[in-house]
Amino acid sequence: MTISISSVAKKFGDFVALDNVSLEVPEGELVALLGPSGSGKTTLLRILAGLELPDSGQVLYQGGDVTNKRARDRNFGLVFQHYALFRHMTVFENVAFALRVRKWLNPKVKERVNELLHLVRLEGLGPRYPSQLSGGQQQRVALARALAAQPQVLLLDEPFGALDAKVRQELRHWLRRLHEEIHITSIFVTHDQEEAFEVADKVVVMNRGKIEQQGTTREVFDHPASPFVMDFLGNVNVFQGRLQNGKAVLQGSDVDGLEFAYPDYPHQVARDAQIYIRPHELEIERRPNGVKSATAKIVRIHPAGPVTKIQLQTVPQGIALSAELSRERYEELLLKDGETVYVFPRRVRVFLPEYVI
Amino acid sequence: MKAKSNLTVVSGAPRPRQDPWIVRIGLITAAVLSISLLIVLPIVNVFFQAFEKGVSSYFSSLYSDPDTRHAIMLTLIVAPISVALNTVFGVAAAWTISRFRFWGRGLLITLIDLPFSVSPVVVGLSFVLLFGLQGYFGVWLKDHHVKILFAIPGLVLATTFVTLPFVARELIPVMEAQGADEEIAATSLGASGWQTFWWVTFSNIRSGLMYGIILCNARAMGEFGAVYVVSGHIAGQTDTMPLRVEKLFQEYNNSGSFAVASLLSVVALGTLFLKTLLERRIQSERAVAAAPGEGKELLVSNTAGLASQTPGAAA
Repeated sequence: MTISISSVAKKFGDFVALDNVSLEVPEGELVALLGPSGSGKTTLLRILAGLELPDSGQVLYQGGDVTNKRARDRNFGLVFQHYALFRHMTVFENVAFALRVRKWLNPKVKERVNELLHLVRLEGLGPRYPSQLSGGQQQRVALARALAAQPQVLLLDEPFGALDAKVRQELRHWLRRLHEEIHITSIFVTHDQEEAFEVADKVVVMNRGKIEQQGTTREVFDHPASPFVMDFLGNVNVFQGRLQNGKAVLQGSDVDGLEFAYPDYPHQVARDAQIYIRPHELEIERRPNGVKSATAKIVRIHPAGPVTKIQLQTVPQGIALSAELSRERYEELLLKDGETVYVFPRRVRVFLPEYVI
Repeated sequence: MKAKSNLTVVSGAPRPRQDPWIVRIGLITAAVLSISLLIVLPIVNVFFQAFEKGVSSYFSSLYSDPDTRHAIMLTLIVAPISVALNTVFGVAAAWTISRFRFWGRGLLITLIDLPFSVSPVVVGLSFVLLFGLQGYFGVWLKDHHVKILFAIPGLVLATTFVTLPFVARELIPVMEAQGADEEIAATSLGASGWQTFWWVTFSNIRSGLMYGIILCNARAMGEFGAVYVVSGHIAGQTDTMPLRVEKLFQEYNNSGSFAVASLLSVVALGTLFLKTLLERRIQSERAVAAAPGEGKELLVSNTAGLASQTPGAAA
């Protein structure tokens, strides 16, 4: 275990930013703190960086308490959303800053900075000023600057948030590759679930100052622990429904029986529940198959990109559904607007609301 | 980046955004007349009067009168001290106000503006009421042989009070706009407070600070009202340049009076020149800080008519 947070709490006035949060980040891992704004992810990062003091709880680094250690003594690299490069210094001097502070000798500074500029693929741009670079280049300078003094931990606050979609995509892959090269323990904050899953080894989903779920990207995606996580991980079909006798019945569908098998609840007593179906786990067929399926009418097809998105409405209940098919599957089915098809979920997730007495 | 679309206007044809010639000429004449009458003429007159009796008499009236010499010296002592005090105060105040949210922040901002709205004579009077023999601290100060009124400390106090807002007012918006990110970055890279200040904060506010200092200095050298009250205007002792100008004028020594006045005018003109230079530099720095490299924003504000345009015009 490299860095760990134990029962950290932080309030700003009446607003609870962090509510008793504990987290462990193993050596060399790349972890994403994922959550909507106000979920406490940035506050957690700032506490890790030493820019904010928790009201209670501890930050431990390799077993030692660093909660009260100042930011400048922690040697954690920091990367900001808006780069925060020193605008009056050249790229070279920006990267050299941490070394100058540590009173390195000139030849060694030069060697290290050139090594870093090579690492971030910005050789030859040393004499330029930050304002002469593109956003993507600036963020790479910021990364090189943060890495200069060989920090133990790298903290990134929405590092791709200010970049264009295409550059953002490139930088994500690049960051992932860089991490594989240098294996520094890294924690990055993002509100973009796609980004978190693409880049990180482990995802920590936060909501309202608490950790909703943490685990490998695969675990979190395949087994979301709560409706919030399910919702946050991307567009999903949500229904109010009822559980009874091993079945999940969608509300308003008693007559026609839009229901799916749910063997985890075999009891006779009916219970209300929220039922989630991911668009790519909703299958579309031209004829009803063995499993109980529902009839639906195609409202709209978006054929752009590698995945075809289809909007449907069940007949006769009129419940809106969205489905995603691979391009091949879509072409195989030859679907058209307004057609009536049969849909059935390959997978259903059910969350029971907590009992309130 | 320049937005270029070669739009040529056929000469003679009425242009869409132009008023009739009579309106244009009328307005331009009014502007030129009022500026010449109110600003240019008095300043030219100062130099005219100063040199009326020739160059040698100009210099002798500045140099041979010991009281005038002393007044120039005194201003050269008082103004730099006030400017230095206000620079330290201004940087500290701007940093506090732009970097922290605290109770009483609004009050502090208002207090910094106070000297702009209070008459300098009132300021001088309030110092007399504090430190004069009839004032609260007067007797105590006399017993301990500390001289504030009718001496350099009083002059410095009054001048500093009057010129207090200049540096802080100039720096607050600059530092607000720049934000604290660079400073946080420096700290996270291991820099100490002083290193962060000198290497990051100071180099970012340098132009704004110079601007504030120059304005502050011009005002400090020219201060009359507050200094008039606290100095007791004793010739050869507590007369500063503006006070000397007034005294010589009262003594019907026109050439002497205007000679000193011309020095103050030179300071004013020099200030104006430096100010313009710095304004250009600050503007280009802002443009650099704002431009994302591609000039999208500039193009947008150009089309919206917000930025001044270079040659081509948006049709």
